This record gives sequence, C-alpha cells and structure tokens, in this order.
Amino acid sequence: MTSMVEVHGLTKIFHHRRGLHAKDEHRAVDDVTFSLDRGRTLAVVGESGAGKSTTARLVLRLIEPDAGTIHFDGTDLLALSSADMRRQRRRMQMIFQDPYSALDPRITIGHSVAEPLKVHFHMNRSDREQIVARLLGRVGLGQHHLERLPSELSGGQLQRVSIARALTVDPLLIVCDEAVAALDVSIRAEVLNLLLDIQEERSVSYLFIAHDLAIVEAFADDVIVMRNGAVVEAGPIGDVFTAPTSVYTKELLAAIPVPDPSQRRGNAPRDEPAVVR
Amino acid sequence: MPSTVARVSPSPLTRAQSDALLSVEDLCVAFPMQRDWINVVEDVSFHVNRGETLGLVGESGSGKTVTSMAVMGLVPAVGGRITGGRVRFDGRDTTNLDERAWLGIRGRRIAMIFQQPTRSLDPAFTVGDQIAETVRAHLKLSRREAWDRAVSFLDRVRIPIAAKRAHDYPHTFSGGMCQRVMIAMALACEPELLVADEPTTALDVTVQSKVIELLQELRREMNLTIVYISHDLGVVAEICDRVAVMYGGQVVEVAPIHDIFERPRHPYTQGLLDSIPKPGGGKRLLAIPGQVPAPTQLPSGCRFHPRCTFVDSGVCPTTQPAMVDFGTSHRARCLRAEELDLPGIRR
Amino acid sequence: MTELELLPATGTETVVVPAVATRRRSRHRIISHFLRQPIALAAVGFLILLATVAVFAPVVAPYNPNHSDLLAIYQPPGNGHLLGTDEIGRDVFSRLIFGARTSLLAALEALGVSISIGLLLGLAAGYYGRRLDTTLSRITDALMSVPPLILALAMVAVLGPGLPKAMFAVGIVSIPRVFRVVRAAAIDVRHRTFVEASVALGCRNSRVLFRHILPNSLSPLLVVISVSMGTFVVAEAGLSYLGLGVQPPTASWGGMLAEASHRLDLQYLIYPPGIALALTVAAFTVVGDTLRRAIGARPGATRA
Repeated sequence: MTSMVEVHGLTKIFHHRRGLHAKDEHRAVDDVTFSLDRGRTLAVVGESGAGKSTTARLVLRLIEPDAGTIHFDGTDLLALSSADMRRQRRRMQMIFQDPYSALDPRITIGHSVAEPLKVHFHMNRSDREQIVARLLGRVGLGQHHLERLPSELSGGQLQRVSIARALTVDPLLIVCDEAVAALDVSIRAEVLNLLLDIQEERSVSYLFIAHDLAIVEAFADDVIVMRNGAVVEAGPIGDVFTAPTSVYTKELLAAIPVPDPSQRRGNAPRDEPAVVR
Repeated sequence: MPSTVARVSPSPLTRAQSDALLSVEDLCVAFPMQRDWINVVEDVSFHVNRGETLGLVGESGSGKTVTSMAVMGLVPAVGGRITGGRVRFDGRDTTNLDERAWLGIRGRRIAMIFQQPTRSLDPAFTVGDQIAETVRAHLKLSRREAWDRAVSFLDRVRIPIAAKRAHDYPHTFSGGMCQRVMIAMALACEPELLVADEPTTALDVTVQSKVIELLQELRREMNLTIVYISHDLGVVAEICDRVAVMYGGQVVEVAPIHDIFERPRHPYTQGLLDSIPKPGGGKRLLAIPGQVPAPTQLPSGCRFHPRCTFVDSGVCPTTQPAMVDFGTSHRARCLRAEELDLPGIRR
Repeated sequence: MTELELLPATGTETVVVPAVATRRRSRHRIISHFLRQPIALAAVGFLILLATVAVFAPVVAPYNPNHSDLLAIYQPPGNGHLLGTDEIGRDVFSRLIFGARTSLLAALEALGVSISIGLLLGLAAGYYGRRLDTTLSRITDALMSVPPLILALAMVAVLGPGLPKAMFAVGIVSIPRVFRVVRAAAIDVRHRTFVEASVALGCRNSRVLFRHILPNSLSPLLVVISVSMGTFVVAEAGLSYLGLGVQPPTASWGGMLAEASHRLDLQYLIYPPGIALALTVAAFTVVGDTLRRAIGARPGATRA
C-alpha cells in the first residue's frame, strides 16, 4: 500500500432521543471512501453539517465508526487495542480550529509543547527541552514564549504552538480541522506557509478540513466534497475546481465571493455624488 | 493618475461630507486599560452618503467594531468613552447625545445587525413577537398592526410561509434563516442607516451568498445606507461602493471600491489583497509578517511600519503619517503613498 | 491580537471589553478582588489569626486549659484570668484558644474526608459519564438525604464516642456537595478542545483526568471548601455541645457552650465561645462569597 491513509465505507450514525420512545437517526458520515498519499494534502470541504469534522475524528479514531475500515500506513486502526492505538497516535496528530481553547490554559507553552514527548517517549528533561526549544524556533516563536501561558499569546501564535506540539513526535499525518478559519486573514497566510514548509521538509500528509474554498484551492492537492455526510465529488484540485461534475460542487464554487469588484454579480457600485454644497 | 495631490490636515470635512447621512470626524474612543484610559480608536474620519454602502475593513484590533459602537451611541454601554472628535447623523451631532434622545434614533433611524444571528435573538420569544415588539416600541402601532408588519417583513426577507413561521421560536431557524430574521427585525422600522457587523461571517458560503443578495435587493427597495463591517474582501467587493480600511485603531485608507482593489495606496491594503489566495497563484500565499499591535504597545511613528515591506527607515518609524488626499475621494495614511506604485489585486 | 469579546454582563446590556484588559493571571484577579473589599480582607485576616493561634496554642495560652484551680471557680474576668474561669476553675481564655485548635482540626478532618472522596468520585462521574455517572449521582443523592447529625449519632452508637469518628461522619455526609461541584466542572471541562487534544496526542485517560481536567475543575471547589469549613466548625460545636464530639476534658467551643448553659447568669462564660464561633463561621462564609464573586467576575468564568 502506497497510501498513508486509506478509508473505506466509513460510516457514523448518531442517535438522538426524541420524546420518550422515539429515536432519531442522523447519518453524520455515510459510506465515505478516500485515500491520502505520503506528503500530499487532501482537503475535505463542505458546509456545516456535512460531516467533515466527524470524518476527521473517525480517521484518528477519536470516535468509533459504525462501519468501514481505516488503514494508516498499512495498519488496520480498528483492529488495535486501546493501548496500541494510543501508541499509534504518535504518528497522527491534529490541529484544531480554535487556537484559544486547544491548549490547556493552566499549562505553560513549553510544557504543552513537550507533552507528546512525555507521553510517548522516555527522555530526560534536557533532551526534551532541546527539542521543544528547537521546534518553537522552527514555527517562528521565541524562547521567551516557553514560560508564557496561552492567554498571553495571539490566535496566530497559539496556532503555531499547536503546530510545534504536533511536530514534536514527527508524525506522518496531521489533520487540520479548520486550522486557519479562526485566524485573521493576514495571519492565515503565514500559518499556511509554515504548514507548506513543514510538508516539504518532512513529507507530512495533511488531511485539511475547511469550508473556505479559496484557501483550499491554493493549498491542497486533492479534494473531496461532502454533503450531508456523503462524498459528492472527489479528485485533484485542478479538476474539481475548474470542471466540477456535481451540481452541489458547482453551487459551492459559484457562491464564493470573488475579491474583484469588476466581477460583481449584483448591481454596479454607486459613485460618490459630485454634489457641491 | 491624480493630477493634484494635497496634504490635508487630519480633519477632512470635504464638500461631499456635508451631504452625508453619517459623518465620523476625528473620532477617538478610549477604554480603561492598565489603570489608564487608552485610545483604541484614534482620529477616525469617514462619511457615508445616502444610499451608499461603505465597507469598513479590518482585522482584529483594527477598531472597526468600536467605531460601529460609536455610530450607535453604545460606547458608554460597553465601558468606553469618546475622547475626541464627533459623530454626525443626518447633520445632527450625536457624540454626546443622552440616552433619551438616542431612543428615538437607535433602532428607528439607525439599525444594527450582528455576527452571530442565533445568539442575537431571544430564545424565549417567538420571532414574530420580537419583531412586533421592536415595531411597537418605535412606530406606535397597535398589536395587530405591529404583528402584520412583522409578518410582512419576514416575508420580505424570504422566510417561507412567513405567517406561520412568525409563531416559531428562534431555535427552529437555521443560521441563515436567523440572520434573515435579524435583518427583518432591523429593517421593520424602515431605518435610514443599517450597520452590519460581519453579518455573514458565521454562515456557510451558499447561505452567505443568498443573504448578500437579499441585502442588495432590500437596499435598492428601501434606499438603505449601509455601513458593512467585514474582514472578507470578497464580500466587500460584492456589496460595497466605497471602502475604509482600518488598522491599529486608525483609518489607513478610504477609496471607492475599484480603487481599493486596483489602485490601493496603503501598503496594508496591498498586504490584505496579497494574502487572499488566488486561483493559479501557486501554493504560497503572501503574508504580512508580525502581528497587530495592542493599543498599549503602539509602535512609534507609523503604526504599520514594523510590518511594512515598503518602510523607509528614515521617516516611517519617527513620523506619524497624516492622511494624504488623492482626489476622487481617495485618501491614504502613508508617508510614501505618493511614490509607491502598488499593484492591487492583480499582482 | 485584541479581539472584542461579548460577555453577558450582570445587567441587561452586553458588555464588550477589549481582550487585552482581561488577559491577566487569574490569581492576581482573585487577589485584587479581595483587596477591594475591606470586609473580605478582615475575614481573611481573622482566619489567619485564628489559624496562627490554633497552631501556637501552647505558646499563646496563658494557662494549661485543663488545669483546674478549685479555689477559683466561676471567677469573673480579671485577676490574671482575662476571661474568667469556668465551673472547675479552668481559665476560659486558654480554653478558648485551645478550642480554636479543636475546631479547626475537626473541620479539617471533615474537609479531608469529603474532598478526597468527593473529588475522585466527581471527576470520575464527570469524565466517564453515562452509567458510572448515573450510579454515582444516585448514591450521592441518597447520601444527601441523610441528616449529618443523625449519621454522626449512628456512628457514635456503633463505634463509640470521639470527635474523629464524629467528624468522619460529617465528612461523609458532605461528600455530595463536593461531588456535585466537581462533577459539573469536570463535565464542562471535558468538552473543551484541549481535552480532546490531549486524547488525540495519545494521553491515557488517567493523565487526561489528573493533568488536565482536575486542575481546571478546582476553582469552583474553592468556594465549596470555604463555605464548608464554616459548616464543619458549627457541626463540631454542635456535636460537642451534645456530648458526642469532643470528650472532656478537651477544650471545645461547643463543650464550653454546654458547660455555660448550666450557669446562664454568668455571661462571661457564654459570650466568648459563642462570639468565637459566630466570627469564625462568618469569616469562612465571607471568604467563600468573595471567592465566588471573584471567580464569577471573570469572562468565561463558568469554566474553571
């Protein structure tokens, strides 16, 4: 198997109790199949409720699927015991959407970044500290950030801390769950560039969950479009974005606001009245 | 190519502004921080003419929300204080207006819609009740008339089976639908000015597209004037006639929509345009290095200079730039604005 | 960097505060809240004084509290006895001081019992949820319906009298209070992203619980601790008054009140232990209340 991640028929059904006896079924993820190769980026796009985040969590086995298989670097994840699964987690990390709540507010940056090392390796303190310091520098933060608490850093900086934390154990896969959605526009670019650099250096694969299609187009290699839990279209970015086959994909692409006033769909802009009082 | 470039002092009250529905002049707003009152908005000036849509663009820390609070007279309510300048609505100075006077303006002549529609509606009351209540408070209509008006506006914002849905509670509406309800509530008293604070940021892209369409239609029908706050330049390009770009509590550029995108004058505006991913633009995005300064730690001289690619280390760190006028109502706050030739969105 | 956050304020308007102003270490905020309230400061001062007196009782007390001078019974204040003597000639002031020691130790014992068990159970119920939660919640609900003094009576009947056993009973009965608060905090914290992040990193459940959930669930517990200490002090006094707690000749405020009830005409016997009790309970309550307000004043304060 050359693929890093191979997912077949992944399904997750949530049950909601309605009233005393009725039970509602909600197919959050419905028979989803895809694969992701080493060093490539697969984007998962769709609107809210499409099942993107649930899919990401299933791939990492943070939630148990109801059906389907997940193979990570040849290993069948669903066949692993919980102890073995925990060991596997070393190789698959996640960056979350909200940088402010992704780090324990009571733990300093240095300790947060060091945590994966503490969990997975037996290392002495100075080795650990060296790795942490090096990675903080790699993501563009300074040594003085080691002793800070998350509340003292900005959203962009916190997201970089999360990236540093993910890198400490040299994972093969990083799942980015709307990793830049909560950041300012000008900060997004920096974080995305950092992710690209890291991918080039280490051949990390990214599973990139996003709803912002413009970013996805620039950043990803392949894409799957999800709607109501199912995959409606999949393929290389260029193909899907220039020649979408699914009606839904076409709708999505048409709805993206273009940052170019000469291509307005609505009326032409009003000029400043040249009225002189 | 502008033929005349004039250096204007920081109180530009041009001829067109005296016609404006909303005029903000040298506004300064301060909040208590670190045992002192620190300005989070400084020397902000812009105007909006009747029927126009002005985009107020900026990232976090730019001061755009505080500015909108000042327009609504809500600065004291949020713990701040206007420390300089003035706000004029329809010729009347509202800067120090007391609450009683504001009651006749806020909600009636100036309305506001917010970012999180599901959180802005009271979950304990039906949608129809909430709109009718606003209408009765401002328009002195009977219960029956107010309810009818509420239903008619729900219909106008394209809520299907409005008469029935008016009896439903907010939690039965999706995000996009809630935003439409908010718009109905804001417009039911037929205000002259609508302040929209990132109304579509929390919505899905297809929903956003429909809401923007709706706003454009209503704007035409009701001759609305809109101040549209957003960080999304795509949406701004779609809906705005003019744009004011804010950074670090100041307005750094004001220009008609085409100029902002094609012929910006301020490096920050250019930076914002550059950081938008473009199809065929390759993977790497152009970023603005560094981060927005906190109001308590503003750089000396130009507030943007530590992050500026065009910085002139001779003047920029030491001199605070004033607004430079480029004619055709295009102003930029940059010491090098005249000499720079920025490419705009087509890099 | 500074984003305006909308917070629900105490009034009807929403309060928007520049985030820069609110990002201070929580400890400093709590301390500054205390510094702003003189009553709270007085309460803290009183408790520190009380604790010091209790610890250094042998040094501070002028007499041995159990030394009885039968020639000087029922002496009013004066003549070398600051607060007079009791029915067998023991110095009231010294007994008051040693009584403080008894009260605080007893309260600490009950606190220790209720916290050690309540904390663990609350964390487990909050984190694991479902059946474990249901079971533990039912059990603690049942425990809450038991009146503390009745249980203490029962324990004394079974195990014999003595303050430690009685306070153990009081501690057991107080478990639900701790359990509920910790469970609620754990449920709240459990849903936060960094907890999911720890699991995704590969942390064991025990690590997630003790390294992440526990520290973030503690601040509501501070309020419970403070108020409970007041309750425990009263419980000890009550038990000792009834003769179920401290055994003579050990000094205890409750015991002193019991003895004073034989001679209600001698007010100098009643007031000292009564006032000491009242002040102590008031101080704990004020501290607890101030803590509650200090914690509640923060943005996002429902999360620890």
